[in-house]
Amino acid sequence: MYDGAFDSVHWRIAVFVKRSSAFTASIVVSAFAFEVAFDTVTDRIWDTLNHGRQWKDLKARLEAASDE
Amino acid sequence: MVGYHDRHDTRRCFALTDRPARTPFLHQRRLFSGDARPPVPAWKASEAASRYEIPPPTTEFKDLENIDETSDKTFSYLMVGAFATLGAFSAKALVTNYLSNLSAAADVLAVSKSEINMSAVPEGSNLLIKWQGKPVFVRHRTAEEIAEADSVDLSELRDKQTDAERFPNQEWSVMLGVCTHLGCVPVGESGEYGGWYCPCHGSHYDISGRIRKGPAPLNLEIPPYNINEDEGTIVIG
Repeated sequence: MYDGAFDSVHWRIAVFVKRSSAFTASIVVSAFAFEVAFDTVTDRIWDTLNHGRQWKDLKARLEAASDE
Repeated sequence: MVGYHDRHDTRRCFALTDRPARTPFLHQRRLFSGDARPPVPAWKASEAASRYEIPPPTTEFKDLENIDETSDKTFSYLMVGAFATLGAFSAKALVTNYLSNLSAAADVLAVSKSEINMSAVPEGSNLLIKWQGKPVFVRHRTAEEIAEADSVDLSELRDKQTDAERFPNQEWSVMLGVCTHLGCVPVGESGEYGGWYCPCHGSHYDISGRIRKGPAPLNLEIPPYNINEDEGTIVIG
């Protein structure tokens, strides 16, 4: 019959979920990491779709043109 | 014993109890009970027995005991954690977007600033520009003017401020061209102290914009400004 909350196989998970405080903290940390990852990925997709049409691209082109 | 057709709405281990199938509420009446078997002629008894035989349970009790609860719990916790993470992310984005909606837009902020090209103001000359509808005096001061502003004894002043307190970068003075008396615009490079002179009621300001003589109570006000040495600009606002 199963007794404890987690056996040794799942001890890694158990560290994060055994205490509610640790569970909440890990959720907050992972939300932060998820936000960074999400922003990076979506920004990259946006830049790829609008390559050459954004101000930063135009600025680089104009500066190169004015140097010549 | 349960009825001749096995129940599908519960796990089989509960269905295979000795309790008879009951109607859950007293006000319900069964029109057809699983227990009521149609009469079968005696000569068909063996066929009836096979037809109404209760199939052997497909799940044994020992199988139920061996279910891996740990992996079930892990999965549940991971799902709860994943959706909580998504929820926290969404809530944060919602609050951020709402608050950024309250702050001033970029075009409004841009209008509230004025930029001056420092190379356009040679040493010893004034520049009068408009910032948020008010005149602003910008002066590129000479070394003598800085020394003169520093040499003034604080006890001589009505509104006691050293020049370094007023202008961290003493080479440039930036101040509002509004007389602190009644709001006229003083005239530059005039007055008894070589600074500004207000023609309305005769207030004399020195080279640091401090009130020295006349009715004005306070030194000329200094707007918030930033000197950007790298780009050679002064940004007021």
